[in-house]
Amino acid sequence: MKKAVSMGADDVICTRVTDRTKQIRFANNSVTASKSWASNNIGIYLTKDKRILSTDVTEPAELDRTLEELMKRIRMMEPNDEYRGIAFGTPKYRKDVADPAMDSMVEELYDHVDAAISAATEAGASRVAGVLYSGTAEVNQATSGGSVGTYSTSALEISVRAMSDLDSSGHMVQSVASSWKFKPADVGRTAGELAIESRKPEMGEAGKFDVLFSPMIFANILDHVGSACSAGAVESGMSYFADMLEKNVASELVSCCDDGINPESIVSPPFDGEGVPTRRTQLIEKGVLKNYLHNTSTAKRHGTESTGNAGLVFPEPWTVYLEPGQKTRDQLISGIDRGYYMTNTWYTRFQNYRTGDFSTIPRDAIFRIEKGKLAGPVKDIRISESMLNILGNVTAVGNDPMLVHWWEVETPISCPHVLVKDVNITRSTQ
Amino acid sequence: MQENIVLDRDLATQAVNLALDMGAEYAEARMESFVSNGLFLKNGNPEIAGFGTFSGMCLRVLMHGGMGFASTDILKKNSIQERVETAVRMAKASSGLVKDKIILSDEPTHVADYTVEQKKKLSDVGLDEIVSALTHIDKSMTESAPLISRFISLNMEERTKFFTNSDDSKIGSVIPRIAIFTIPTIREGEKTSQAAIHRGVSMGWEYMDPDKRAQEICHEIAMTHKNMKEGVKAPAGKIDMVLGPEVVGIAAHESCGHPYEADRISGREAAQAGESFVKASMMGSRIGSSAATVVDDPTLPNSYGFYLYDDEGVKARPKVLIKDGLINEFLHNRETSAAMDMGQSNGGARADNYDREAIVRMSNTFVAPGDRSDEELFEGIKLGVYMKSFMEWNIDDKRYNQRYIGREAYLIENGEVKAPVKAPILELTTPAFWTAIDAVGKDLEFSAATCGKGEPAQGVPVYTGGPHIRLKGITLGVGN
Repeated sequence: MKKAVSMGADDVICTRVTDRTKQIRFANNSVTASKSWASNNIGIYLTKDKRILSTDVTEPAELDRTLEELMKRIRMMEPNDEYRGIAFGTPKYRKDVADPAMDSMVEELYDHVDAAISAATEAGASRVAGVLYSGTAEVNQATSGGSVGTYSTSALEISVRAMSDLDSSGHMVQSVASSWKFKPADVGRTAGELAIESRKPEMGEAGKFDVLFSPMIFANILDHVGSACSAGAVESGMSYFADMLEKNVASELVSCCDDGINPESIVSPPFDGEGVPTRRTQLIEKGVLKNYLHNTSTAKRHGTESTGNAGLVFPEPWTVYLEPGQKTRDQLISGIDRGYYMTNTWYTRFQNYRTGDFSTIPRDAIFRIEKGKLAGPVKDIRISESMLNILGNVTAVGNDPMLVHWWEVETPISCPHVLVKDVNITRSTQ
Repeated sequence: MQENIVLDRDLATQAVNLALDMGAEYAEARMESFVSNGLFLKNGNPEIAGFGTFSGMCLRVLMHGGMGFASTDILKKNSIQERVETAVRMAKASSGLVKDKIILSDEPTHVADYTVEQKKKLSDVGLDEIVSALTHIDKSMTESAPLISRFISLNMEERTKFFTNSDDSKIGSVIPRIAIFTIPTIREGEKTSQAAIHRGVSMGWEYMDPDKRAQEICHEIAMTHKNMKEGVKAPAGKIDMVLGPEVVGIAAHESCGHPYEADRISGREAAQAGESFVKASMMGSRIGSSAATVVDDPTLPNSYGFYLYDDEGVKARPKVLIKDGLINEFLHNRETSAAMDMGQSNGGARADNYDREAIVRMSNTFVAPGDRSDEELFEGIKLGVYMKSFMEWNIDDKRYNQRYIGREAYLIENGEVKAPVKAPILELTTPAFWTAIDAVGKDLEFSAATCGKGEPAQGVPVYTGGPHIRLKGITLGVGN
């Protein structure tokens, strides 16, 4: 960083990430692959007269040559007139809470996989698939703004999908930052039970229905809400929250925040990509949009301060938390006259990010609800909706939050069951 | 001129030998190095440019029926030795939980080197040229229709690979790829619409003719705007449809390519991208009308999904997935072809980087052209919809229920293309789609796309494509 400044750079951020991750994949009750990644990467972000370049280096001996190349190339770049610089200051950071035990685990990981598969099959599932991750990383960062920091992270995660036949399955996940909290058998059992409960589904019906979303599926929706709160998404036309600050964007039952400091999450770094301490930022309060997520440059453009969410280009959420309500899952079901209970989804695609029009395909266990009770499994339906409709039609929030992070939920999301009225359901016409 | 990257092939060979010495029954190493350049403009501002040369290697071993995989970005002997040890240790540790021992199909040994020629090498292009070209396209976009906001990116890489395995295959390749992606937000009064536009090829900088690329992108924007301005409601009831190559291509990819991936069929991807309604026992059975033939062909020169040997060292070839409406062939790697007793793999194993395992993937998937002219496709349609391009799309994880929403679309009345139609929805099952085809045009066009699959997710470059096709007796879906 110092060398880059001495060569004439204005703003410089150097971030070294050393990552060790293991993965065990399984399918059909059998391990299909065991993987280990080791990476060492130094990311360099550099500006000169509002011209911005970035690169990565794996070999420290290459740093000098790379900096010379950066300074040569930056003269060929055009200035970004919207750029407002990086953070300045020398903040003190909170301590990280990484679990170093995760780095050395190998044989124990297979015990976890075995426990998950066994619990799912004992619950009645015929086939079990999934993935287990164990990872640690160390991050060192120095910026020309004056910040210097180091932290370590750790995560142990499992995703289990249990099947009783092609159309009947259950899915459950768990992500923890401390290994002693890991309960793979519970995850497998829940997935297995859902697979059995959803056997022999009938075709679902199209129309408007009250839908009770499990944490797995509502996390997918909140994942997109978190991304849409990034000031970068707002500025580039990729957010339905553009021009909506201090306006109603959701039912008054919806309050959610981005939380960069909760040690229960697997993503809670002490500082962001430009050295700003992370924090808790209210996104929606009682249905009103309160904040976008910012780095220093977007914050200055919007006349506010950084929320500590700097990524390389756009601000990014760390972990989105939906404030829980009072009701249990069963109480929520008992209040539905005619509707659906959905436990997972995939392939959420937007027709228009600016308006929030999208569709997504519920998968795994889906149940009809009739007169306050689960009334049998269904299949082959699609949610065809707008994000603002979904948020605006929330009629109850459950009291059972869980942290969801898996293949279809990129940002860790903590949310409970959520009841939404008048959800538009479609299905194939032929 | 930038010199070609020379990989230390001996290091890869040594890694394979070391794994065998440690008891592995099979070992392979894939070493990759790529020069990358990219630029991202947001609302005309050069937000950031990135560049770099990235190198690394992965090793995959089989031991006692278990598979171990390890990668590193440090190409030094001691680092690679540690990675080999880890891959072997994990393969060994997993064997107790491997109920179906993993075996690979027997394949011929290949020794080959191939390079995609470039008139102007991507690694020789200056950042000033990149900025100039992309700024030109971006500026042209603003003149094609009223835009609220926009972003556009240009990404290019020149990737050098070396693959070797314990069967003595040694395959080197150099493939350049260049891609443009943009999502402009188009305004008409109080309404907005978006068009996700992707262009990509395997070739040098000669592809980047700024005027030509701008013209293509601006046409899409202008047509989307025209649809917003003049579009009428889609007709109800049973109608006939003509689909343009872009829509036909996404259907070939989503509704044929994916469900024919043998690792989905076998359940290996069940916890992520899902399984398939197609079962191995359905081989040879009818899935569509006799007009439907779908091909996956990685060998198309300069295509975005181009390769001549896959990432398991198997020679690539065209695969006919649906032939005259019958299920004809699945996409395989060495593991699935052995498990399904296919004899040999058909060369469908791809990884998007050195730190990812090669899994079953598509390359360039398209509906094969037929013999009908445009006029013949449209004539005789009393009332119908011509869906030329799409915006929202998705499909369930067994690949049975899909939905494509038209972006540029028109009414067809008495065989003639009339007014634009707003957002017609094609929402139907996979057999219903392939069965409804009653005529296939003789044209053929491709679109570039990035196909996502695997965990960790891998995005591989592909073409989707086809000719115009006609569907009979379609009931359009309902919006929100």
